[in-house]
Amino acid sequence: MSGRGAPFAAWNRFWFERPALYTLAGFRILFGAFLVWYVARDLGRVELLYSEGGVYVPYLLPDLAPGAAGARALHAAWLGLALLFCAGLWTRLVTPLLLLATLYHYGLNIAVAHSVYDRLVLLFLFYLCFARPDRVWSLGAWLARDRAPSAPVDSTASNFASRLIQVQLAVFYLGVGLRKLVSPAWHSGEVLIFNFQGDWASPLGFWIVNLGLPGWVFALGAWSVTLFEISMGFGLFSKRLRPGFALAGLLFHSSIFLVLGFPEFYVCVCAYVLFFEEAQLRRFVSALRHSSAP
Amino acid sequence: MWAEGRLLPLLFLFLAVHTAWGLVQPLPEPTPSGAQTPLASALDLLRQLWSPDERSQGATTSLLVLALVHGFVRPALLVSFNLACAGLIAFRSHLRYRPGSLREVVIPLCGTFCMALLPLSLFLPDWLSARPSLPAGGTQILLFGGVGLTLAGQLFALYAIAHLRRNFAIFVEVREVVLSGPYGWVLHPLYSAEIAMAAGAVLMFPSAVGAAAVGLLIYLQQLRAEMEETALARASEAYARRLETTNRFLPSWTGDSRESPPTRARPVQRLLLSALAIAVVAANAFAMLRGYEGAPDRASQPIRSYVYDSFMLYHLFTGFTKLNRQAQVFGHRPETGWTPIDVDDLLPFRPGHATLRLRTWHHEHTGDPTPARSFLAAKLRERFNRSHPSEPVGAVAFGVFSWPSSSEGYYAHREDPSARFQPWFAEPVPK
Repeated sequence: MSGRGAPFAAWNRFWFERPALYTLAGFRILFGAFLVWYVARDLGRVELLYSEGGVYVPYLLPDLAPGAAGARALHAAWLGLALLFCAGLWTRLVTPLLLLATLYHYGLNIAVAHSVYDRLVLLFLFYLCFARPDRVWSLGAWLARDRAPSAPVDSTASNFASRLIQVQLAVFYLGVGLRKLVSPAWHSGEVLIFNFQGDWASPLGFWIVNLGLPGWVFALGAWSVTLFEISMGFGLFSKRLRPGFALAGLLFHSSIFLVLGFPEFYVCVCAYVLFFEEAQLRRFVSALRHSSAP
Repeated sequence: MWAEGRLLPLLFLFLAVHTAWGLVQPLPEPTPSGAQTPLASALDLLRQLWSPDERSQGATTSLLVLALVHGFVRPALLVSFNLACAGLIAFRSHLRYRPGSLREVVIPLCGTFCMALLPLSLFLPDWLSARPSLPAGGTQILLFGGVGLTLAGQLFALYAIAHLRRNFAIFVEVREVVLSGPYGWVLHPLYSAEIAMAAGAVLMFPSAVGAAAVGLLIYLQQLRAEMEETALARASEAYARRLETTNRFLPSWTGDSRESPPTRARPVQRLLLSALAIAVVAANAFAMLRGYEGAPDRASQPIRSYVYDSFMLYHLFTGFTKLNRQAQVFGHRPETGWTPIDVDDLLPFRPGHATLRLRTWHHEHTGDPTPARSFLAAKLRERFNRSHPSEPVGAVAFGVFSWPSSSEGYYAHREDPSARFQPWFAEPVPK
């Protein structure tokens, strides 16, 4: 690329090019499934978390939580929106509503669930308001095709929302990595020892600590995590390194899930799909279809 | 040409050695932490960045980074740049066009070294080199902006010179014509970088003479660029074509080109969305930097006090600093007095969301947490009484058991006889 507008054309190309929507649709399905789980896990404690009869602390909201029935209805609506989003139906309307519903419930229980991952969910939903992730691989597209089989399918759209999510994820990893870099507890690996036998550690975490491994093993682990997180954003943007980093990220978050029991971290893994090329993803899905065909 | 090939590398080498030498020379006065030289100061700043506990009072991360960049990174980059210039001129590639007039030698030399004469402004009247008075915060903004601009200029210069390689020259000469990398963005990226560096230095230490020097630099580089363009266009048709599409020092703001991306977004839409993208990145950068400054100031948080205090309670119930604490809830009945009550299934707190920083915040800033505790106590009491209608409690209290910390883990010392109970809150007992 050359010419007077080269950097600005590169900027426009980065944010506004119009690729096919398959990566965005793939993300919608994965993130939607995550959201369904994310909402459904509270089904057994809706009254406790979101009703006036529960123990909740509202955040930037008046203390006007509804009664138990109202809380259940609102929660059911939230779950319904997550299902519609995952299925890819009316996402232009559903995504903003889902964002509002998530914001409302987040506001009510922020004092008990204020992890960075909850905020990441909100940010992803906000960014998706600028996208149409239901043009392909969706119930909406299937119904439209059913109604008008000969109508051409516009399978391209602006890359803007994908890019926002990519940048957000890359900066997120960089930020938590840098935070660890300047945190003394992460230099010695002490923080791993505490967390592996802490209140939220899994039996596997306790087992690892009780192995009596020398301190340098935990220091090495802590440094590996720090360096991995700092380099993750760059790795995902690199075409050559991307598959390796995506696999490493999947293993990393899975190990956190096994040792500390945080499934919330998988929201990051859902977004990896956005970094891949359309063709790569379509080939992968096609291979999956062929392998599952009888 | 002999002079250029021998003397200029020596001059750049001298500048590199001089700058490097300055890094190990004693400072006029030691830094607050006792460092005697810029290099020692840089190492000290790195240590402070590394270990927040060792920071001097008031040393925020951004100021530490600023001092490090200004005192060490910039000189180090300058040394690299000068060394690269020396090496590239000494081992330059085959010459295709040599300067045809004295003008093509003198103007480039003046353009390259005119900013080096800035220290001579000490001999000028004071009002010319005086720092203008600025509103509060203005100096800091200029300092940050100046350091940022200089650093960006230096990095861009190194990037440009890495593309130019052995075709680098000071005088108006032609060797291989380079059109790739930064030379595809603007015609003279090295001069853009030099102007950015000079402008950054003047922003850091603003003065009338500094501004005039930058003006002179731009003028001289403009003249130099015109001469180079004429010579290069004569030597290369591709370069002559490039002249029609590429700006001299700054990229075009329009972003229009034959290879513009296939987007349906209108310019206004693109502008608004670009602003949003920049805001997202800036907000993330701000959040990152603020995180390093240590605990956030409570007054700056848009969080009502009882909400913030509930964070503390939450961390008591779920997170255990050093794994030596456990929250305990008591209920009061007229017949039994205060007895522990089991509220495990009544607490909405679920494990796994604690952050170290908030716990640190809690330990460092214990204001008046009564409203939050009262709020949560009432909620706990109501809920417990609904779940246990046959044995209601009239009041709830809670506090924390703590025992000596141990690396053996949280569960190892739950029954430790030295455990102490520290009451946190007790509702008034109804009469």
